[in-house]
Amino acid sequence: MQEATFLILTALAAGSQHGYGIITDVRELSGGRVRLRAGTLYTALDRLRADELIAVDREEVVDSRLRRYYRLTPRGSQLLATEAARLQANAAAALSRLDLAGGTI
Amino acid sequence: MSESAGLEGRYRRLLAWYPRSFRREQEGEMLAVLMAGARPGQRRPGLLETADLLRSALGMRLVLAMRSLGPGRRSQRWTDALALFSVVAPLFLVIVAVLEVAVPYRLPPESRLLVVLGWHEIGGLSLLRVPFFDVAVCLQVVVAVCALLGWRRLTLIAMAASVLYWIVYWRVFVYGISSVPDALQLLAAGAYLLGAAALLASPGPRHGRHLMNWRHWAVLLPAAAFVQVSTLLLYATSPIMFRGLRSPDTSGYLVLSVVFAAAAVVLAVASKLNRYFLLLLAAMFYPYAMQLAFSGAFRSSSGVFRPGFGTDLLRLPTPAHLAVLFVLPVLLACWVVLTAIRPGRSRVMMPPGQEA
Repeated sequence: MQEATFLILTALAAGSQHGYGIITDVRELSGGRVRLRAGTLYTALDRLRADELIAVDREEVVDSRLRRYYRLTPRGSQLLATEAARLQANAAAALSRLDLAGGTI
Repeated sequence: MSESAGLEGRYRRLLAWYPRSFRREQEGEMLAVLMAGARPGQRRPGLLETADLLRSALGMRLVLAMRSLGPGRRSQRWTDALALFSVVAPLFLVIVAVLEVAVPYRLPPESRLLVVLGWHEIGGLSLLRVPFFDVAVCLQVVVAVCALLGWRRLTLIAMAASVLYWIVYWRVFVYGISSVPDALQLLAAGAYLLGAAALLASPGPRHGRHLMNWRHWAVLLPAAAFVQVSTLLLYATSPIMFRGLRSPDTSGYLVLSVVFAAAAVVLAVASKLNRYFLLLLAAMFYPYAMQLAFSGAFRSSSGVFRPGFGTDLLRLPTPAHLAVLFVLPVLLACWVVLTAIRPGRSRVMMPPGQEA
């Protein structure tokens, strides 16, 4: 899973968000390192919707502009949990080996 | 116009690159996100932002095209197009062959040397005396009859026999001068490659025959006329035929070629034929179009068009030349077969035991 996809799913893990909310949340989650642009975000959202990992939660009109909120589907939650566990296991293995190598961390 | 309205208009122009179906659902929402992310006083979309939107829009168009052709999502129009092509292409080849015989290139008076040698015309009935031509055309007729009768397997076998025959022909004549018209060789290559793929991947020629109607022939007859006139143009501009002789005036053939090609294209658009069928036809014509473009056939003596490179791709078959000639029909034929036989699967690999 690409990092941007992982971060988008993570942004939606705590609850539904609209597009701009996802952009700001992803930036925050990545410590400012990943700055999604609108084109990239909507390409990813379209793909994730087609794969049934996210779904539209609700729509609102704010300042006469449409806001669409997205949420994780059960399938998306499952995939995110699996990916997070995989990353965690990899990170734990790396940290463990670094520790064995001389405890330089 | 306020700065905000100007920026919004520019964003809208960029969003217009997205597919219509996507815009209908997402444009307002995306615009809201873009405007929310704009800096105070910003008047134009940034360079990186513009590139990102264009990349995303073109990617989405590509994805939509793939989804409509992809495994499990192949539309009825696509399978109809394949079935239709599997019967129309062999018939079209026969019409082209008949025209090649019926309309010869009569040598102009200035080519007296060739006339003295006994060559009064190129093509025409003299084609029937050319080695390979008669058998090649007979095989084309067999393929067309089998397709018309709806015999899928026999059509495939006849196509395979025809292709084998062409390969033998190429082995014999590849570096020599052959008199089988280029158009027939190249159209047959495109038609059989794609035709075989269409036979394998479609409901079959019987279904195609039911879909065939006068609108298809309204497009294909001027296309066949274009092939014939451009063949005459190729003869007339051939450096082999007229080496050392004054090149004949080819303006008339050039004009007629353009008129027939334009008529075929206009009729194809106006009659709203299945666009996938038109894509297959375009891929079938592609090798011949490349041969024309590279041969310099459109270097008319009047100097109207000069886009050719003066290279004979067909008779100098280097790997690069063959790639230029056949890349489109080969790729499309592979795509047709692969999408037909590859089992559909989800694009997201869920962990074992957790599939939805």
